[in-house]
Amino acid sequence: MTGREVVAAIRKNLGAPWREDSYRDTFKGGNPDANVRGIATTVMVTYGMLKRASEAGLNMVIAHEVTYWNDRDETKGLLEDPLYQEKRDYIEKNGMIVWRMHDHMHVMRPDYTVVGSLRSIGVAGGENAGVRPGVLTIPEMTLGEFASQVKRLTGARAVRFVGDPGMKVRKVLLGPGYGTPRMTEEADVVIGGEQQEADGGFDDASTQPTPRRTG
Amino acid sequence: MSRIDISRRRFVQLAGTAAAAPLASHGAEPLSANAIAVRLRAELGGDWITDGNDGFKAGDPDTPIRGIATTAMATVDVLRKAAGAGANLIVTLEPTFFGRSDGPPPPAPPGGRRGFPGLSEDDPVYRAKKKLIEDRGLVVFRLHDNWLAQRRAEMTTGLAESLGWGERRSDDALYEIPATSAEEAVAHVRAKLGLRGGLRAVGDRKAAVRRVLLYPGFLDAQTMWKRYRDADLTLAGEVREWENTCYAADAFTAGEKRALVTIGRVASQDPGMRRCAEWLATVLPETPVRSIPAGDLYWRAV
Repeated sequence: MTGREVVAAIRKNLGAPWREDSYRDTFKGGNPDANVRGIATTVMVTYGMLKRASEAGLNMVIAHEVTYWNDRDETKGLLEDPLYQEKRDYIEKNGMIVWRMHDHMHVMRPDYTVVGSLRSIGVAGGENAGVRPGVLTIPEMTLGEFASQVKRLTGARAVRFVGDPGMKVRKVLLGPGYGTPRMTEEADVVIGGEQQEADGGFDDASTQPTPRRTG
Repeated sequence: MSRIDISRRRFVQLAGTAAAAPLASHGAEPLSANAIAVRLRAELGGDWITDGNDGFKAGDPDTPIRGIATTAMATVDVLRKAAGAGANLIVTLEPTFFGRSDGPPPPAPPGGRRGFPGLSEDDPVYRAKKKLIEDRGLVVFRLHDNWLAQRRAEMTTGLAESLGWGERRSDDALYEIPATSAEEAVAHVRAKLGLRGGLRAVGDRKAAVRRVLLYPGFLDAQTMWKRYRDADLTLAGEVREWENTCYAADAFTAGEKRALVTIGRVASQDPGMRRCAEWLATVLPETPVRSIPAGDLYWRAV
């Protein structure tokens, strides 16, 4: 099977309409018509992940997130970047194929990014969840105990919390990736992948149109 | 002994005069928040950006101001500390009400708005925070776009000062520090800034560090691509994981002896807002000014 045929099989079995206009879900490297010897899925095509896949004999990578450190995998500003060159050349030299599956993950039911996240932190329910699973109930424990559970089950070294570690929690609202939900009265604890601290990413001069200036 | 003996009665009279003197000598009531904003705008210089994020966000701008507190983020904790310290005007770099609209957003356009819904008028945290501001007679002014447009360098200078590297600048962001390792630099940063759980590091922990890039606030991907190799360690407030964090991780896999350290957006901006307080004190000599750090908001699981 070629890389292109793998994607055709995904399309056929997705159970949701295909989004022809997705700029995210495209081939990011390698020859789509090369034969696939094995597939590795990942959330992020890091250089380390590429090496592990290749060494395991898997030459196709299906990744939820990006290869070249920006949402559009735009490489124009990176052509002289030594790290970009090394990663691109590694993909080519090792006959790898990289395809991103982002938007099409989120239209599937269930959304496996959500179900996978729920399972990884030990929360039951949400078997058929979409991208917004709603509030789920866990056995009552303190936030500190829940934090320890999340750390232990995921093995995440970077997990951070804000709030009273002694408060009792039962209602959990999850949004993986960049989709940390707003806190609501219905949930005791909201858990996400990442978000801007001030919800202010769009406040930054570099990410918003320059405001008009007046005297 | 040449000490002048002052009777108790005379002392009370003198003390009374002294207490009244500052007001009497200026012959004026304390400035209103509005008057302070006008002065601030004039002294900051440049064209005032009016259609961005800056301006009054809560409280009555006509309130007479007894004291000013600057902060990176007007958290409930900062608001309480300000009120307790007698400061009733809070000048905050970041939003008070959790987002760019700094409160419930205007009605959605026809067809709705993308993404998660904005803050609701009925949100209990929004309501409680607003009530705290009203009950304590506070006024909140956001100073972001104009401060950064005119004084962005102060944010970097303030952070460097807090880290004990104030004299070591070699360009707008680059500092030469005493030789250390990435791991030791992280310990130094954590101790100097009193960080709890917000700091994260990616890259080579054993890297030899002499050159450090400081980016308080948000570090965008393009700047990082351009400058990451100018330093052994890049220290920022916050980044996006799929951009900068993964770039640093990939550089490590490629064998580059560098590291990226993020300390939290707010924690990285508190020192710059201390510089803002120092500047405000020079342009508002009649009003007490202090800075109140919002601090590291995070803790870690045990």
